[in-house]
Amino acid sequence: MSDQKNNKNNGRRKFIKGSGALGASLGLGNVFVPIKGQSQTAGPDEEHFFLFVELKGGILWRIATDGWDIDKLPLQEKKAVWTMELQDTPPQRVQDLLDRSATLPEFPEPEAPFPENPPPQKTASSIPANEKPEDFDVRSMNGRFCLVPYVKDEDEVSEMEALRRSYTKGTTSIPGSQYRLGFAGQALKDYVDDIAVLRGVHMYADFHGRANNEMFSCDPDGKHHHIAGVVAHLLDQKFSGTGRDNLLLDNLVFEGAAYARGISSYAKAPIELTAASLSALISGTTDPLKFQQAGTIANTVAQMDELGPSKKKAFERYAEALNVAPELSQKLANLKDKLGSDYEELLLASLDLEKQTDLALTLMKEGLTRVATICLGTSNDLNNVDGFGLFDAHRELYHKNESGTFNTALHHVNVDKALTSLTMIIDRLKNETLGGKSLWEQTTVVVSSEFARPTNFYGNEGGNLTPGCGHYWYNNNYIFMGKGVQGGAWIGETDQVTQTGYKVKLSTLDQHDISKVAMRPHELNGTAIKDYHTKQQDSPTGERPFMARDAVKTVLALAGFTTSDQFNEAYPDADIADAKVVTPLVKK
Amino acid sequence: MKQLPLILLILGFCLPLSCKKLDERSTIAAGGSPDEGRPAWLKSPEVLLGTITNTWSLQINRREKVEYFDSIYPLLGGTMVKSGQVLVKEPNGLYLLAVTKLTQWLSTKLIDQQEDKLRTGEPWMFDGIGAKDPDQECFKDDTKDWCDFEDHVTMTYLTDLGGKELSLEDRKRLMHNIQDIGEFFDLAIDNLLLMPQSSYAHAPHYLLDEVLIPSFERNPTAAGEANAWREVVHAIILGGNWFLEAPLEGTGE
Repeated sequence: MSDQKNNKNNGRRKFIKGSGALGASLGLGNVFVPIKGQSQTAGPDEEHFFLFVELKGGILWRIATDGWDIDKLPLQEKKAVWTMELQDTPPQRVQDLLDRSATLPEFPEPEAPFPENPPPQKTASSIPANEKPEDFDVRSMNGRFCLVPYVKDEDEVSEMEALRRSYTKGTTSIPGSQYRLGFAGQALKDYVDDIAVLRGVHMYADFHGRANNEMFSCDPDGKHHHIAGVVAHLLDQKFSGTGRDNLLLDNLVFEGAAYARGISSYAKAPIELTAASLSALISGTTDPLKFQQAGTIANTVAQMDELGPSKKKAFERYAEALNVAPELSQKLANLKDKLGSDYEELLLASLDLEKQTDLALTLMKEGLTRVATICLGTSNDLNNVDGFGLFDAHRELYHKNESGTFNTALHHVNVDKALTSLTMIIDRLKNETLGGKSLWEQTTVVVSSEFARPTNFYGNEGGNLTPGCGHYWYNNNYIFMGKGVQGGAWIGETDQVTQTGYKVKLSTLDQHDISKVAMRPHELNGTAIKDYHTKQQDSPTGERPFMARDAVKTVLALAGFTTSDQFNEAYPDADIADAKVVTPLVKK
Repeated sequence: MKQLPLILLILGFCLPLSCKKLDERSTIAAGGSPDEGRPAWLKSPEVLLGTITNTWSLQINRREKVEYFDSIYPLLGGTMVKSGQVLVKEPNGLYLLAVTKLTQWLSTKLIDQQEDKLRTGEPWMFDGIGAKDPDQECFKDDTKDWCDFEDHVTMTYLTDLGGKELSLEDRKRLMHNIQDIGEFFDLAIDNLLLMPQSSYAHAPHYLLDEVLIPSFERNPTAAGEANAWREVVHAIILGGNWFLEAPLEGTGE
């Protein structure tokens, strides 16, 4: 067993070689001592921070937290299942991207210097005739066909062994809970008891923008509040009058993350941190005299009788801001050491999961923020996550950049990098304290992507039926951890071939025991998936797949708002009124 | 101190587009509300940017736009604010800090640009309105150490300082330009703005006595003078008086 474990780890290290270069410079390289299973329920006055992590674009969760159970995969069905080896990252290409990141132009324009061709990839046209089903397109579009990518850590290893090493499975400490990690999620292997995973979540929308609305607000139409804004609002109310309310940077949103649309009293408005606004916050003067001089003028103006009521109010607010500005500016200026004050540095910081987390946690500890949404893969002309290309995968599992302008590559490397960063965040939360408690005890983290990607040809956007770059509605994953979360609760099943999330009997979600949650696969009966799942398809039998609304309602429960009142008030749409708290994910 | 080139910076710091004649200002002073009658000055990032690029002809590259102007929006509430062109109605500390950085950059940019123009012999950036002709009356009389200005601006600090440190030539140039800058002050921060402190008649007086001169005293050199003017511009802009101005069309307010 230990040999097998070592082999798997070696495989992952080989797979992501070079990816640690930037991570090592983040100052997070402490010797961490995991604190297993530490979590607690909310008390009335205990601080509660929230970190939402939005992985921009679609994730091929099958290679991450919803890996294949190779033993159950009908590999012998050549017309239903394909395997495909993904080769390692071309070193020169990685180096080129890292070099590019290190020498940013004054204002970088999109570019894609991919000098090397990735290895050839299977496409629909390259499928051998004897393997291609007669109704190939129909089958693939219906999801009754899958491609199983894998990586090899040793050349002499058989394909079957490589598949097994690429997809590991096991049980967590929670009875009835099983994990299956793909090769891009192996970093989580030592953390399966720290996190909870909701798999097989169906979505209404599958495209950028609409989907990221749905991911954290239940609905793609943009009329619902982002859950971060709602949680920030509710927690702010909870702490009202304690001196810990109305935090200046609360509902902090990093560049590119989804926003609450519209103004409401039920969601705290977002404060967006971009490289530019970060720069503005930490680079201004800290000289009290300058604020005092301006404050003298502003206070005088505020007292003018001629001022209309709205202007008077504005000036009074402005004068108040000037009064607190010296202390605030000094606090923020202290962040320069963490972030650097150079604009280019900040631009890169906005792309890095660990740096964003570092800033968010620092602001939380400074009492400036309670809820923050981190975004990995923002489109700001530098949409390369740690130098490995776009986070999202628009073209194939292993993208070849034909046009020279579309630098979406190496999705699996980016997923691996993101989840590795997640483990470092877990360690950090456990090892940093505030008020005598670890941040892990005080912070809930929620991670998801806008939508999923399949390994079949469904929703393909790469052309020529290239696999792995489709927009997929039927298997998004959410990762929860930290305060209030039942670590080790991995829940949700997906079909091995169609990669479609199972139906769940909703009434079985009202209790904590995962083994009692009833699920069963969809009966497609020849129906195309895209036709099968609509907004109105929710079953009158009390069965349906997990939906984003369940994740959102679960977040409210994790925040301590366990009744339906707050959910119903924040999300009054009848279409989502059947949202369920996934109780097994919530710590008793 | 051999020369005070930068003292000329804000000579007539006013343009036809944004300035009113003295008699017009008097009309406002007589009965109008600054809420109603002021010309557009600084307000939202769009107005700031428009003033700086169109009125002052400062060249701004894309990065500066992102760094100094676009940065304000996220701190007001993100793209929701940006797309709605919502203006600053309830400015908070974040807005203030974003404006602070903008102010620092802008005051330096203005000083630098004027310095460049002086160096190359180009006309000054701004046309003065000459409320009191610096070549007339007291200003022409070399026997006088100092002259008082319009709007009851008196030069207590300068009088003290002038006898000790400055040459007659430098003093006169400083007087001349403060007069013109005083006009800018009037236009920029409102000639009705009476400071509450008993020792100051109004905002220009305060700015001269409390911002310009103390800074200048600390470093009475050309570089120190340039910095002193930066601090004056900084105080004016950060003082926030643009909230008084009428909204521009199309800004969504």
